[in-house]
Amino acid sequence: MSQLIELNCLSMKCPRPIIEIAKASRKSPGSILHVLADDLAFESDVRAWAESTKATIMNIEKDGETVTAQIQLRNL
Amino acid sequence: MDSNIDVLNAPDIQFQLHSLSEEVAALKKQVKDQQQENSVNVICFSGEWDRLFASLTIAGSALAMGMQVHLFFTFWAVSALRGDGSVKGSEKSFLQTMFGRMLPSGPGKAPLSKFNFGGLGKCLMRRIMKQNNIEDIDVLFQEVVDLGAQIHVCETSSILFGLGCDELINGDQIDRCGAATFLSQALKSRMTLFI
Repeated sequence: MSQLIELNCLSMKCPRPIIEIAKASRKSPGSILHVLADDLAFESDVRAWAESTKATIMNIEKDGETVTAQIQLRNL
Repeated sequence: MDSNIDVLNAPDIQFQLHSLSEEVAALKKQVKDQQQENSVNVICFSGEWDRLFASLTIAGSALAMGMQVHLFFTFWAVSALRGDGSVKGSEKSFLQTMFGRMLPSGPGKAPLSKFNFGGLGKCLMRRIMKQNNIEDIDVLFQEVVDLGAQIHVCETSSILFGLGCDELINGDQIDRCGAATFLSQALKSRMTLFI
């Protein structure tokens, strides 16, 4: 069972949420990341990040401006 | 045909095989050398706050996306690498010292390229940034360094602006280089930006 990590990126602006995700990914590769963010660029950025780092986006939900993303981080 | 086989002598074939395998190895190396690194180069030329901010934002995102980042600081941007330490230096000429006094120290002290109004415009912009939780340039710069960006500074520019190693932020981690270093890195990279 993969480790589940919660990451709160609310009120963070570009590029901070992506940097935080990258840090979590370096720290615990292979785990599942549950990210909360409300930067309008976040959804597009997180998809691009996942594509270039070979992570898998399991789910993205939008509730108003708040985006919740579940990412399966790549194993190193 | 049978007689042909007799004519072929073993040492000759071995020699041909050897030279062929050498050739293949050389070609393999050539292909490997030509393969591009997953890296981004940014030439930071402008010493203006907004342009530096753009460079650092791209650098931070690229590092987060797992790319290597090389930041080349040249001309006016060199002042962004200056620490807050004294600008006096015994080896500096009078003109270099004067230049040093007029140049800002560190990215946070750089002026805006537009709407600066003697620092008032920048002050207002920083206020808006703070209200919206947009990161300050000094924090972003430190983050980019911590995430592993390689920082290069143009040697000629640092002489021009009278910057010694001891005056640079993280002086020991900064590579003092010339144009050839940039060019060789640029040939290997996928992307080079001039900001």
